[in-house]
Amino acid sequence: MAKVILKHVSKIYENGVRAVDDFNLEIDDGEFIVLVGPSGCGKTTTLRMIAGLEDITEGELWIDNVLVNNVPPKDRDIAMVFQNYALYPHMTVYKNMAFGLKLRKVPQEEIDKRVKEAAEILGLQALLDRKPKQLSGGQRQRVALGRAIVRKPKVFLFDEPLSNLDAKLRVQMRAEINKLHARLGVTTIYVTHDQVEAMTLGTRIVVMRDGKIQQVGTPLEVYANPVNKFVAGFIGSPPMNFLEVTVEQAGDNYYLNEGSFRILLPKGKFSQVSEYVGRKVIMGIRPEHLYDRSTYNGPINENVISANVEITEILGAEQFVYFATEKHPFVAKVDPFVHVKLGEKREVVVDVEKLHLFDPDTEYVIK
Amino acid sequence: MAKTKEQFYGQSLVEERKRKEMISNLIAYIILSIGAFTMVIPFLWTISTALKDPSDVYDGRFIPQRFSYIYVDRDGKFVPSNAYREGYKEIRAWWANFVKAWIAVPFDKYYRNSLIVATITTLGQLVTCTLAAYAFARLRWFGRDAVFLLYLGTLMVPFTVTMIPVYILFKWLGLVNTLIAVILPALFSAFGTFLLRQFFVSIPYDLEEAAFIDGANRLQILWHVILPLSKGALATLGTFTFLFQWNDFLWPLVVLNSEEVKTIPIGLTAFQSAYGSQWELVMAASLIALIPVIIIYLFNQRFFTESIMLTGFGGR
Repeated sequence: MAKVILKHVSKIYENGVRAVDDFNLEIDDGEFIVLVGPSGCGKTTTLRMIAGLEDITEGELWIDNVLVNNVPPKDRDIAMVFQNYALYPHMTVYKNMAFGLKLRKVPQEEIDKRVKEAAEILGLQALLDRKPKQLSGGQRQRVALGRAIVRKPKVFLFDEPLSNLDAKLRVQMRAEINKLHARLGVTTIYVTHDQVEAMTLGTRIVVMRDGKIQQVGTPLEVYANPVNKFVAGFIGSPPMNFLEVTVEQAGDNYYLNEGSFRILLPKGKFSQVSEYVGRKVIMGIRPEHLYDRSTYNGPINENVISANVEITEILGAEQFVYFATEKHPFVAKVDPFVHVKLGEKREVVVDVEKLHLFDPDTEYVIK
Repeated sequence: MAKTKEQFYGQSLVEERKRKEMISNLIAYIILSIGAFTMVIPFLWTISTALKDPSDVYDGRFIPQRFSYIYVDRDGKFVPSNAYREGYKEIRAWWANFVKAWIAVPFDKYYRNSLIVATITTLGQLVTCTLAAYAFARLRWFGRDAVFLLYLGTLMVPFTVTMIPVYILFKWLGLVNTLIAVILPALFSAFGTFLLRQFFVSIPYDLEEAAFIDGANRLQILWHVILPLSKGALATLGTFTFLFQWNDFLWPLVVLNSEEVKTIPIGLTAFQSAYGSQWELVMAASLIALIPVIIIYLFNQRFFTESIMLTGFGGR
């Protein structure tokens, strides 16, 4: 177990592309860090630099208080789980797990003990003599996990380990990885493009875009207080609605005017918009913070939008209603028992305390 | 209830489809049979000739009318035909020509020489080509691809062009008329390097990275990961090399002169020069020479048919 520190780490390829740009992060002992972002955001490159599979162009990487920039992967005491598992096809499950230990000249009884232990944790006891091709996707993934845990490394690295599994298995394996981390307490760095995985697994998540860190925080922090429009749109499903509105002042009150509706801002947000009067801002509101008027119990005070229903999706526990004003589409998550007809005009209540306001130029949140 | 194919398409349609299938199969089988026949006829003719009496070699019959004969001296030893003396016994048997061929020339020496040459060059090529191919496939070094192309380019230079300079070189090294002269140039092969490199390139890089992280160095990766996955390619290269060296004629002919170092292909010419053209002996000797090749093939066959086991990978 160890601390991992990245100081101003960058990766610049020979063709000049900056895949990772000035990455700074201090990962505490035993933390579960998730790097999340769209494809090509540099998250995998960052992970590969930590693994030592990719050279670090600039900056410093410290693992357990040792500068490891020039330390080869095998001496970094890390274990990695690959997206496609990368199991050795010609070796049995047992040998796959034992290979790393054998290379490190661990005594045979110790190898045997550790492999059996890992097999028990992962429920692989009955499969030890099989070859990878005789296993299902989920089983292969377990073997890949097993290969990592037998080594008892300081750091676990996961490179989109669940993306080759079907949806149901993914949920199951996600829970297992969570349990495994709770049990072993090893510092873990996990890369994914799936924000649900990020939210459910990470003690902290790192949202990346174009090689740069956008935001670091606990899942709830990132969800509740995204620093910019990108993070706001990336975390949460369905994504946050963005509507372009104009800030208006009437007396002591501030309003957001979309054209087809006008919303009164709560007092707490006045200071944010005072400098934007007469200018456009981007209003962000999550689908779960919009309510159908018929089921809303809170106060109603100039916080209602009326819009046409375009589509509805009933998922059982919830219902997504896709609305459209004259200018913007948006989606609301409403009670599944509200009967919504296509094409009708309905009133949607905005939980104004949960509004996010973004500068249209910088796309950063207005403070 | 689900309909059967017959009910669904109608009886006549199904029958017509079956008939079409049969006709196309028939055509395929005819073509394949002609091919197989063409391939196997010379071989069967070889066997037939190897069994025949010398005077029947040109009789144009496929089935030998009578087996060949061999003389046995008073001590019960086989003797060559030209050493016949009064009172020697004549034995007619299917194996007569094989024994004749074996004792007419120092065939055991040829056999031994050929085995030495073919075995060492095959093993040698497997080692050198594997190392070179791995370097060309996976290591990053300046000018790698250019060097590879250059190396491949040597495949286009016919051996006849380099034969004389190489001969002079070996003469200068004092290696003419030694087996080393045949073995040394054959220890390296651009073809083998190419073959293995192409195969290595197709092995997913993730496997190597996984092995790196598991703590393996390059040679350990090659030995524990790459080679076990390349059995098919290695068996192919091994078989090709063995076959080629076993049959190689021109270079050994140029560089080997004494009986002590001759290989089988050169030895076989003895039956055509020293004794006129004794086809029944040539054929018998050729069949004896075939044995190791057949063994090698049978041994390696399972690797050819074994599919490349890269199924340890997920949905990609």
